[in-house]
Amino acid sequence: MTGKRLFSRILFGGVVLAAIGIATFGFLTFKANLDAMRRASQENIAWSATQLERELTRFLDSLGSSRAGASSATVDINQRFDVLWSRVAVFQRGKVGARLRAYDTEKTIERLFEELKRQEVFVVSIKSFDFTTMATISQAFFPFGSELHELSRVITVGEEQKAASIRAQMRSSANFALYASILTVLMVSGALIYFVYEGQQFRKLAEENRALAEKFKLASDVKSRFLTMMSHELRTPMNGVLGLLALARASESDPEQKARLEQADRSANRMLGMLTDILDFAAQENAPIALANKPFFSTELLLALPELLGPVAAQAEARLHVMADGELPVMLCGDATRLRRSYALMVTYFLETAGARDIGLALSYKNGVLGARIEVDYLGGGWSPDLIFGKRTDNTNSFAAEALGPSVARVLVEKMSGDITLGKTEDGKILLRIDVPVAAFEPRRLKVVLITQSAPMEMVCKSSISGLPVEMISAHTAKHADIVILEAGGAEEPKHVAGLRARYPSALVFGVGRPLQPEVFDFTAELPLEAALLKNRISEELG
Amino acid sequence: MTRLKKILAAFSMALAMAVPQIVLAQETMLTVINTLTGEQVMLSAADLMAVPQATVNTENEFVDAMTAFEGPLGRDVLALVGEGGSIVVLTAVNDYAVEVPLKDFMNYDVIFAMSADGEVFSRRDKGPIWVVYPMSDHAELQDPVYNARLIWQLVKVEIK
Repeated sequence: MTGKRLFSRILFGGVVLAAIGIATFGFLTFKANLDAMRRASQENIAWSATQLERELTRFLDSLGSSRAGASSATVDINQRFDVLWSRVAVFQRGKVGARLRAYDTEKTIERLFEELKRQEVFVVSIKSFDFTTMATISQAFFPFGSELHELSRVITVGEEQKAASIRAQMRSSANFALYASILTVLMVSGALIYFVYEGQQFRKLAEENRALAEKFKLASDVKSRFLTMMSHELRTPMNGVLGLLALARASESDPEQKARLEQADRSANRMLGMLTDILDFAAQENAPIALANKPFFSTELLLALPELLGPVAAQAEARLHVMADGELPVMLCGDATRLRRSYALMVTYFLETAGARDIGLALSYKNGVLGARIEVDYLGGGWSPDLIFGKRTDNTNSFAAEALGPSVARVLVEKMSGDITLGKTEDGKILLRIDVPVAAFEPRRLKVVLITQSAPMEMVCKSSISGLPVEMISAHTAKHADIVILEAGGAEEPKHVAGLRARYPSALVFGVGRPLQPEVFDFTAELPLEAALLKNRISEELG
Repeated sequence: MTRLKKILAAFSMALAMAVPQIVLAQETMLTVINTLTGEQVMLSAADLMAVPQATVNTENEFVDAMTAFEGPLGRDVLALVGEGGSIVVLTAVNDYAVEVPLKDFMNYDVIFAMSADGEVFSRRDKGPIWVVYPMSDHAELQDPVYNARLIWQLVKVEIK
């Protein structure tokens, strides 16, 4: 195909060059035709030559008539002389004069003009009936008659030949333009036919590629479905194994047997985790991930990690430190679940596979990017982090070096338009950075009216919603509120709620404590047990 | 006719006072006839000089370079014999004649040139009058059709 494309390009370039060449020739031809037309439209100089011949004849006639007695007006002779002079003058000036002189190889006009000047004095002073002078003048000019006649003939023939030459040139140009046009049409038609043929070939190839892609996608889907099914099917018996191991461990009193059972339990849990990863990986392959884009508290993300990974670290007998590097925005907007999972998969891998002794995870936020800096102090050995976190290769044999957890994490980060980079700290630790673009979210600042019956309940409420961007306002002065938190209970509860709704028509009314009629509230939470529920509900309003 | 002659005489006197250095023979230089109305005027050099003068700077195939032609506008001279007609017949001293559409005089500043670059035409050099078109200002005039209308030694103009 590369050869064909090269040929197409050469053909296209050739057609363009040929078209430019023909257009240039056409332009030059057109210009030549214009010049020819301009020459053809010049003054007809043959007419000027014959006029001179005619005026000489008329001058000689005027002399002859006077001599014959038909006219004795010397004025007429002088007038004819002047007109003859003016006709000779035409040969001496302008483009017409130049063209006329070009034919006058015998210098007839020059000689005639000299003769005019010689005879001028006699003509001007001629008297009536001075036949002798008239005869002398006639004899002086008579020889020029035949010479001017010959000059007229030469000029007429010459101009006709020029005109014929111009006509031939224009015919030739027209023919050339015709042939060039036909050639251009043929070339363009040929090129078009070839390009259409080539286009058909490319379409055919594209169709074959599409069919191949569909075939491969089908095979991939089958593989992914198989993986999903297998991992799902394996999880069920594994859960059974784990349950039975837990029962056996609980009833075992022999320490040695108990240690073996715990080891079996850890192995089974690890296998269950791997099956979960396989399920996730297959799910990602099967369908595009729909990323969430919801507001979440940065502190929640930060606190969830030790809660999630603490047991794994303890089991691996490693230390885990999670912290904020600098100030984080209170709220971020993105997919908190997948961010958490990405971090967890990476840290878990370091703990369980790389023999990490100490892991630090620091979250920072700069220029719209949430960065996780994971520093790992590990045992080393034959394992190298490049095998897992380095640049991916297309070599399918390298899959053996891949690990499922990091692979899933890598896919998740890529889906979130993030990036994973690997390096080393100054003291030789593994340094892994996970950078994901996440927008900072500026939450609404909710106005909350808190109405409680006792100081302890007021403290419990305030403690429950601490950390949220809310403004506590007094019920005595508040004219507007977003949320009213009322300590529920008592026979007047519905009436009290109705009064609050009338006073704050756009506010939500939350009941805390032990409401008698929960249906009159927009939300109820039994404090202090359901403090988290209250916080989450208010967080929803922030988003 | 009488009124026209008086006007021309007044023009002539004014001109004579303004340019006393020009001595003009009072013989007829140009005869202008409107064959439709029968009006006819016979104009001397002084009469023609009395008509407002115009200058046309142009080249043509009978001069060597750009030349300043001076003389009355053709349409002003034609107006002396009234309106009407569509053809103007221009006749030279040797009886050579050409027919010119009247609209040429209306569309272009065609002049009856009596001098070029300050030199009055003699009969031996296209004088006394040369019909000049402003060819350099109008490309469409650079054509043999208009070359043929550059008649010189003009002596008679007839409107038909």
